Amino acid sequence: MLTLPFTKNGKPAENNGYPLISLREVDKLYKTAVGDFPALVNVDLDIKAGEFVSVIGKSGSGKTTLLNMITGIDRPSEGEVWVNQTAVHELGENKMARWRGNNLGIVFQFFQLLPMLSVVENIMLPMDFCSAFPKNERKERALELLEEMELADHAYKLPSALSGGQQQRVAIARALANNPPVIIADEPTGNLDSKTAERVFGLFNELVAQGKTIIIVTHDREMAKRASRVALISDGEIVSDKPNGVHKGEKA
Amino acid sequence: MSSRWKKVWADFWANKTRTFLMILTVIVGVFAVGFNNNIGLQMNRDMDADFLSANPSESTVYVSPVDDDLLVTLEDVPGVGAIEGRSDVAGQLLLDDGKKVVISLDGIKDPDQIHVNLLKPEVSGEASLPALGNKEILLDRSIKSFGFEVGDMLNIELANGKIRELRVAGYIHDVTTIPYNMMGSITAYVNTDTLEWLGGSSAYYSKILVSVSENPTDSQHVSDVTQAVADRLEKGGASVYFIQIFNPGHHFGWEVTQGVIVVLGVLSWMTVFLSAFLIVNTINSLMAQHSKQIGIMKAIGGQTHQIMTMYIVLILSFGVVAFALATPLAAYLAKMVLVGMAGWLNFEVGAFTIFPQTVVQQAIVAFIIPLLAALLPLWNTARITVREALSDYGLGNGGVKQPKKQTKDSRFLSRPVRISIRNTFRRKVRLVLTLSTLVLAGAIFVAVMNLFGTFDKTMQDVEKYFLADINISFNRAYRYEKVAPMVEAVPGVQRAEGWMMLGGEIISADETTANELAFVAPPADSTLIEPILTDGRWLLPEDENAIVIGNHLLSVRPDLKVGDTTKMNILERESEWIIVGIYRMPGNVVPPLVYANYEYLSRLINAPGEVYSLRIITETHNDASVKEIASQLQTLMDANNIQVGNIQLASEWRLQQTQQTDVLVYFMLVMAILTAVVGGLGLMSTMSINTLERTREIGVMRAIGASNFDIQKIVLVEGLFIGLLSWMAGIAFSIPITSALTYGVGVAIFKSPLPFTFGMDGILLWLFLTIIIATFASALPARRASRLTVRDTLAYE
Ligand SMILES: Nc1ncnc2c1ncn2[C@@H]1O[C@H](COP(=O)(O)OP(=O)(O)OP(=O)(O)O)[C@@H](O)[C@H]1O
Ligand SMILES: [Mg+2]
Repeated sequence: MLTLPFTKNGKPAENNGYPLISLREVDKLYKTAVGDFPALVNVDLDIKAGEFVSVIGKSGSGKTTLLNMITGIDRPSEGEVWVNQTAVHELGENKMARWRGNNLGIVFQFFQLLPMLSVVENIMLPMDFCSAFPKNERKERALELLEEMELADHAYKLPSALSGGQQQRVAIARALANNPPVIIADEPTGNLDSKTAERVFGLFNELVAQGKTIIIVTHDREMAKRASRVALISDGEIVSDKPNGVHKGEKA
Repeated sequence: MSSRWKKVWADFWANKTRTFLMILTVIVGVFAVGFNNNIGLQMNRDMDADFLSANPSESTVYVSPVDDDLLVTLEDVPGVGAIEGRSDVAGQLLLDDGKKVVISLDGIKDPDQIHVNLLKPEVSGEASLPALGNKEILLDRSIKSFGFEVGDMLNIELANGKIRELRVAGYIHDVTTIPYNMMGSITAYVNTDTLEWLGGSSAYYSKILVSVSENPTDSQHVSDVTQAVADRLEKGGASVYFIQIFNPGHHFGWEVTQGVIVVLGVLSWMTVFLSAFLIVNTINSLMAQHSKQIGIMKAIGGQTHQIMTMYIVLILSFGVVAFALATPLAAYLAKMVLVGMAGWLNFEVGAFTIFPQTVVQQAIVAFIIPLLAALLPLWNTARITVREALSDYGLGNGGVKQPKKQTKDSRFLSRPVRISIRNTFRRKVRLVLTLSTLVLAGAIFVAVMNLFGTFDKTMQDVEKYFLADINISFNRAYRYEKVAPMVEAVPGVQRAEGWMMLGGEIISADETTANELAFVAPPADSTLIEPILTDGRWLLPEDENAIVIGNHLLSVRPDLKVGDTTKMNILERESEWIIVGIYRMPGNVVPPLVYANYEYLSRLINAPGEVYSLRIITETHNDASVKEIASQLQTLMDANNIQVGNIQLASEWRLQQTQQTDVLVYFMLVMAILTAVVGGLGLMSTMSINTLERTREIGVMRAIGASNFDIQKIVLVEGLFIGLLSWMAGIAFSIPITSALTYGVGVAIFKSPLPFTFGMDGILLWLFLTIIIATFASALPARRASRLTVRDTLAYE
C-alpha cells in the first residue's frame, strides 16, 4: 500500500482509508454510425474494501458499461480506473486476463458456465488458468465452494442439468474460486425468481461479512436496499450515491 | 486431468460429426501423400534394384554375324564393362485356340553362365535356375498366364513354315526384357544346340549386348561407348545395322512411372491443399461457435496463450487420429497396388519399407498443415476481448448483412428456395472456402477426364497413319501382284495395299554424322493414311524423290525444313531427296519415320512391285469379324507357303497401347475421386456448420409451422445450389489444369506435349457427381435440422 491513486488535478483520493476501487473522471464514448454516444460521463467513484455496492438505473443508463470499466472488460475513453492499486486502464489485454482471474470474481447475468464441463470442473477452471492453488488442492476447494452453495450433490452434473438458480450459484462459486478480494455481478438475479434471488443476496451478504468487496448491478430496488450503498446511474452519470438510502425522483 | 484439458477432450468428443469430418479431412490428405509417396519411392527403388541386379546391358548393337574371336576384342574397348553376344531365331508360338504369338528365341550356352542381362530364378531367393536341356525352352514368368506347365510341349512355327516342338524346361524371371503384356511378343531362351536345330547359329552372334563399366544412366556416355564398340566391330569386318539405346541404366518401366509419380505427386498435394481449405473452414466455424466461451474463459482469468494452447491441442488431436489411421492404410494400399504394378511391369517387389521421408511428409500434413490452416482463425478469435465475445455488438453476429435486393428477388422462385439461396451467401468466407474446395475438385476431375480424352485423341491421331484393319508383314519381299489378289479373294476383305518399310540414314549437312530413320512407302493412291500436316504438302502420285518428314526427325535434325534437299543412305547407297512436307505424329517414334512414294522407292532399290507388307481393309470393322478374317488370312498364307512375320490387328494394337496409359489413367482417377471426396466433405461440413449456426432460426421456422420436408428442402437446395455454382466455376478452372496435365504427362511419357483436348464427358460426369455429392453432403445436415424440436432449438446456447 505504498502508491496512491492520484486524480488528474493532483488531489489525493477522498474518504478515510484507501479506496479499493477508484474511478477518476471516467468518460466512455461508443462510436456508432450516428456519431459518438456517451455511455459514461465524468464518473468519479471510490469503493472501499468490504463495501457492498449496488448500482441501479434504467435500461441503457450505462450500468454494464460502468462494470466493464472496473473489470477491464472495456476501457475508458478518458480517465483512470484503479483496482487494488492496479491501473486497469493501462493493463494489456493478456495481463489483464491473469490479473482479473486473480483479483476479480465475475458473475454474469446468464451464468455463462461452459456447457461441456461438469459443475465442479467449471469451478476448477479459473484455478487451472491462474494456477491459484496447488494442483492437488483445486478439486477439494471446488467441492468446498459447492458445499457452501449447498450444491455438493450436483458436483458432477453438467450445467444444463441444473436449474437457473443452481447455475447462478455455481457461477458465484466459480467467481470465488481464486479467492479474489472483489466480486462483480451484473444482474445476478435478473433471471431468478424472487425467492431464489433472495437466497443469492443472502450469499452476497455472507461474503461481505467474510471481507469481500461486492459490486452488483440490479433492476430490483428492494434487493438493492440490502446492499450497504446504492449508486443510481442515469444517462451515464452517477446522479445519486448513498449508503443504503432511498432515491428520489427516479421511477422504477 | 485438469479442467482445461477436460474441456479440450469434451470439445473433441462431444461434437462427433465435427470431429469425424475434421479427422476425415486430414485423413484424405495424409492418405494421398502417403499412398503416392510410398508407391513412388518403393517402385523406383525396387524396379531399378531388380533391374540392376541383372547386370543389364545399356545398349544393343545389331550386326552381321560376329564370332567369339571378334567378340573378345570388344572387352578392351574403353568404357565397356561387360559384353555378350547373342543370336536368336524368330518364330510364332502356336496356341491351342489357333492364335499365333510372335516369339523370339535367344540362344544361350547355360542360363547360369550369362554375364549381361542375367536371368533370375522365377521366385526371388530360390537358389538355382532350371536346367536347360536340348529341345527345351525357358519362359519368362510374365507369361505364366498362358498356362503352360513345366514338361508341356510348345509348337513353334519357324519363318520357313516348319513347326518345331520344344519342351518347357521351366520359368525364369527376365527383368531386362519387356514382357509380353506390354510388347505383344514373347522373348524366351533355348540353348545353343537347340538354336542351331531351329535354324539359328551358335557360332555367330547377331546382336551384341553392351554394358558400360560406369555411368550407366548417362545417355551420352553410353552412346559414345556403344559407338566405339560399333567402330571396333566394323574394323573387325562386321557390318553394324542398328544401335538400340533405350533409357540406359533404368528398367524399361522407369520412364512411364516417373510420369505417373510426378502427376500423382501434384494431385496428392492438391488434395492436401484442398483439405487445408476445409480445415480453415471448419476451424473458422468452430471458433465462431466458441467465441463466447473464449470470452468467459478470459473473464475468469484465461490468458490468450493458454486458450490458444487448448485449441492447438484440439486440432493436433484430430491430426493424431488421422495420422494413426491414414499412415498404415496408405502403406497397406500402396503395397497392394505396388504388387499389382510389379506383376504388370515384371519386376520384383523388395522388402516392404516404411520410408522415413514419407512418414515425415505425412506428419507435416497431419500436424503442421492443420495448424497453419487454423492459425489465423485461431489467432483472431483467441485474441477477442471479453466485451466483443459477450456483447451483442461485437463478433458473433457480425457480417450477417441481408442482401439489399431481397425484395426484388424473382417471383419464379418459391419462398423456401429464396431462403436457401439467400442463406448460401450469408457466410461469404465460408462459401468461398467451400466453393474453392469443390471447384478445385471439379477442375481436377474434369482435367483428368480430359486427359483420358487426350489419350484417346492421341491414339486416333497415331491411327491416322495406320488406318488398315489388319497388317501382314512378310519375312521377305513378295510380288504385290501375287499376294494382293490372294488376300483380296478372302471374303470380307475389301482391299489390300502393298507397303514398303525400309531402314535408312539421313546424312547431316556437313556429311559427318548420320541419323537412323525408317522409310515408309505407301502406294501413291493409298487411302490408308490421313496425315496431320504442319507444313508443306503430302506426297502426290507424280512425286519422285519427295519425302514428308515428321516431328520426330525434326527433334534430332531441327535444321530441316520444307524445300530442303537431303542426302540419305539406303541399303549402302546414297540418294538425294527433297522435303515437300512436314507431318506431326504424337508420341515418341524411334527411329523417326519418313514417308516416300512406294513406286519411286521400290524402283530405287531395284525391287519394283515387291512389297514387305500388306495393309488390309475389311468390309466390316467389328473385332470379331476382323479376327475371323485374320485367322483365315493366316491359314491362306500358310497354305501358299508365304512367310509371314506377323499379322497385327488394329484393335489389338489399340488394346496394347491403352493398357500402357491405363495404369496412369486409373491412378489419376483414384486421385480425382479423392479430391471429389474432399470436396464432398467440405460441403458436408459447411452444411452442418450452417445448420448448427441456424439452429435457432430453424426452431423459429418450426414454431411458425414449417414441416420436416420444408426444413430439409431449405438445406438441400442450398447444398445443391453451392454444388452447381462450384460446377460452373470448376469447368473454367479445369482449362489451365488440363493444359498443364496434357503438357506434363505428354512430356513425361510420350516425350512430347500432348494436344490439348476438352471434352463434354468430364463436364457432364462431374455435373452428375456434383449433384450426387451435394445431395449426400446436405442430406445428413438436412435430416438433423428437421429433427430439431422447437424446445431443442431454443435451449441451444
Ligand atoms: N458497443 C457499443 N456501441 C455503441 N453503443 C453501445 C455499446 N455498448 C453499449 N452501448 C450503449 O451505451 C448505453 C449504455 O449501455 P449499457 O449496456 O451500459 O446499459 P445498461 O445500463 O447495462 O442497460 P441494461 O439494463 O439494459 O443492461 C446504451 O444506450 C447502449 O445502447
Ligand atoms: Mg446491462
